[in-house]
Amino acid sequence: MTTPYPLVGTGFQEPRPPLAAAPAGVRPETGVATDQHDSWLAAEVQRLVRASELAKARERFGELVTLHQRRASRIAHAYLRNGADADDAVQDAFVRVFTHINSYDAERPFASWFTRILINVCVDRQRARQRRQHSLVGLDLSRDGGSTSRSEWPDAHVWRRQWTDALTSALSDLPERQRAAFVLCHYGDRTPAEVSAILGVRESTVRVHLFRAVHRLRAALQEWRDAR
Amino acid sequence: MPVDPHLSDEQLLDRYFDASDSDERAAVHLFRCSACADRLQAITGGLEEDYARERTAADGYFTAARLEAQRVRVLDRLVQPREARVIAFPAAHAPAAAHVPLRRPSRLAASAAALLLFAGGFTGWRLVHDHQPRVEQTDARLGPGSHRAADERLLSEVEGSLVNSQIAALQPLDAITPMEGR
Repeated sequence: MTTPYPLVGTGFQEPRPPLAAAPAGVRPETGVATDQHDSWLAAEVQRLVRASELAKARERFGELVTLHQRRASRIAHAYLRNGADADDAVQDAFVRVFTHINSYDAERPFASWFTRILINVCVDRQRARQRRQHSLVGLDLSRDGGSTSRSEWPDAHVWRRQWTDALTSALSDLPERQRAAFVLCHYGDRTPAEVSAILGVRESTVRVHLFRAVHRLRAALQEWRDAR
Repeated sequence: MPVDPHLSDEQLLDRYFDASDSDERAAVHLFRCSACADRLQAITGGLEEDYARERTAADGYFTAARLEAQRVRVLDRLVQPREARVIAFPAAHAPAAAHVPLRRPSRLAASAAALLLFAGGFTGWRLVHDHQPRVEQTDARLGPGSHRAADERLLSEVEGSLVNSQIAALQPLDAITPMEGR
């Protein structure tokens, strides 16, 4: 199956920000360690795998998983809008990272490489889900219930649910690059510069994708409001 | 031509998605201009709320326990990676894995089954082909003391004498009867 972006092992194809440009220090809002630290860990895992010390490599990889799984789960959840699917996608992405760790370029930020793999896994899952849903028309498989309190007045719950469904539908209709840029920036707390490194496109291209994505979403949601 | 002092939609979105953007002039303008602030609100209306709702939903699903279970499952899968099922189609293009030789016990079992099948077939063939001669021998082994043999012998002699006498009586007729090719 083809993926929209070059997958693991291909490296980056456009100018990327150097490692030194990565923000330093722990990000307080996510608890994710610096790019330097997780990149060092990934290089260590790579070294251990090459030395056939797999038990130690897995142990180190567990630390990497701990560092990234919260943010990865948020991104996957925003992309797939389903908890179970997001969970599977994050697992698949981590396993894919480990099995392709030899192709990791230790000079580049691990977070960008990993997020790129995660996005590709999400795109694959989204396509598979769309194929399934085409054969199960009428069943709502896209939501996992959300977190809205049932104690609120019913109309508010219904309205919120419908609005979220409309946004989910509008998001899934976006072209993949626009969607990836929007999800990473809006839900993943990534800056356009970071997204450019993840997607392997220029920062100006990311900004264009964002701009178009927001306008498409606005138009779709306006249509939804007008139809009500 | 007068320059529009307000920010473009692109600039507004840049501010929205990247607050650390180094465009100081845009930041200052947005801070002071209520018209641009209103436009930004119109452009991104609902997105902030959706961001908060989505974040709550994601964090509500991925509890600490679920994240720990996720980590454990990932590490388990590294020990025993799930192998993809390979379905050979068409058969001529079956992957190399499909031609992996059978393990030793399987081969021994297959050989034993083939041997038993061959032995069974041979025995059956022998039974079928040895049946009739054995019956004849049984009749022959009855011996002269057997009533049945004696009766058959007697009947044969009677029949033979009748045939021989008829032949002798018919010999003159045979002599005068024209035969083909004579």
